Amino acid sequence: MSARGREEIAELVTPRLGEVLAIDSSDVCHTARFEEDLAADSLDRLEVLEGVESDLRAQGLAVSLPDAELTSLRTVCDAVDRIHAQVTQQGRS
Amino acid sequence: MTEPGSAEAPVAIDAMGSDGAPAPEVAAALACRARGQAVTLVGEREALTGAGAPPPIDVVDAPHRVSMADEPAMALRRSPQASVRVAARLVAHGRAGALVSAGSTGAIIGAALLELGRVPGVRRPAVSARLPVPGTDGVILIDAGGTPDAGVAAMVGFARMGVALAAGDDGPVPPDARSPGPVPRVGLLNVGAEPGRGNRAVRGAHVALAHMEGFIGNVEPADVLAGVADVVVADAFTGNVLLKTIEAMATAAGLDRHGDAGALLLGVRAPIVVAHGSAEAATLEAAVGAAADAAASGVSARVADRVASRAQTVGSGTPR
Repeated sequence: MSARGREEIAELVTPRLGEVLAIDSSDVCHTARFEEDLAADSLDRLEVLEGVESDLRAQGLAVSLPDAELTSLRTVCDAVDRIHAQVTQQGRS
Repeated sequence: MTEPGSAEAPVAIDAMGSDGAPAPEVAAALACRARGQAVTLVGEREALTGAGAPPPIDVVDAPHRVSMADEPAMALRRSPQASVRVAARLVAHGRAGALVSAGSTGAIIGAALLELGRVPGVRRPAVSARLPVPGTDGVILIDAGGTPDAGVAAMVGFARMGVALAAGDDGPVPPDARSPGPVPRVGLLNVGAEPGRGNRAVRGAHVALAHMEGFIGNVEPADVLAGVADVVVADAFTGNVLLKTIEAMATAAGLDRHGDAGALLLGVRAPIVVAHGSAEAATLEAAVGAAADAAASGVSARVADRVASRAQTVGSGTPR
């Protein structure tokens, strides 16, 4: 399977985040900061991350962000970028 | 394979959860088994065998545990085979109908969210405790221990779930969800009755709940103990302080609390009973009974249905 584009990753992250925050996914702003703007704590971020990993696994991509990344994701953009980088790296290997 | 929350499946016990684990969990499992309640112990197999869990107790090996000192999210990420997470997975896969754990509440909630999933529209699951207030069937305190820093949206969700639980099993939700029968009275735990009292989140929750059917405004601890509300909404920090204060008073008064059955976690797709870290075998046995009853009653599905149907009766567009 080809590596996913950044926009495709964003389309996986946004609905997962909307579900976790109990808001409409169209209200999710990509520049929003998890803690300060969304009141999303580490458990929320983990739920989003593992949800997206599960979505990618269902599409045949076994992607897993390093554990330490969990604490360093500050914005929605960060999450999209890191997952996209991981998918791209996987596509190369 | 059965569905999550099935009453036919055994109750999974996180055998590495309590302060004294696994001895109380194993003793509780043996007692449950003796009275015909099927259970599955989830934990380090060698430790469980050493604590006296012989056949026919079903054991599922889970080599890791989440301690009270661990940061829940990171611990669950690093240890997918942690006992609480494996136990929640058994429920998700239909191999257990409900879960009992006396471990870290944050880890229990995290495991439930990751393995079972949340009820749609719920910002955060919440621990619901029934306070034995004289003259009532038990006042529901929610959240009694889940999310200390709950924001407005989370507290609105607590109110919805508390109402759903208090409404009980009174049949299918009618198309007009505003008239499903007696409306539970909902109070917001605060330090004063006036709407402007409390911290920012509580003040925001008051605004968001103002038009909710049954909302009676702020309540103080004395009001709670007078039974003025059927459901008392709080962030978990405040709710847990109130709960522990009441428990301490009960203990000081010499009341036997061994029959305490733990508290039901609402907002996830199957019943989970959260027990005290200090729980002994009798308490855990009672918690297993409560979990089995919850699975048999279909309370998780009922709460999910009612949360969805009542969502429109609470102010929408609630801020954090």
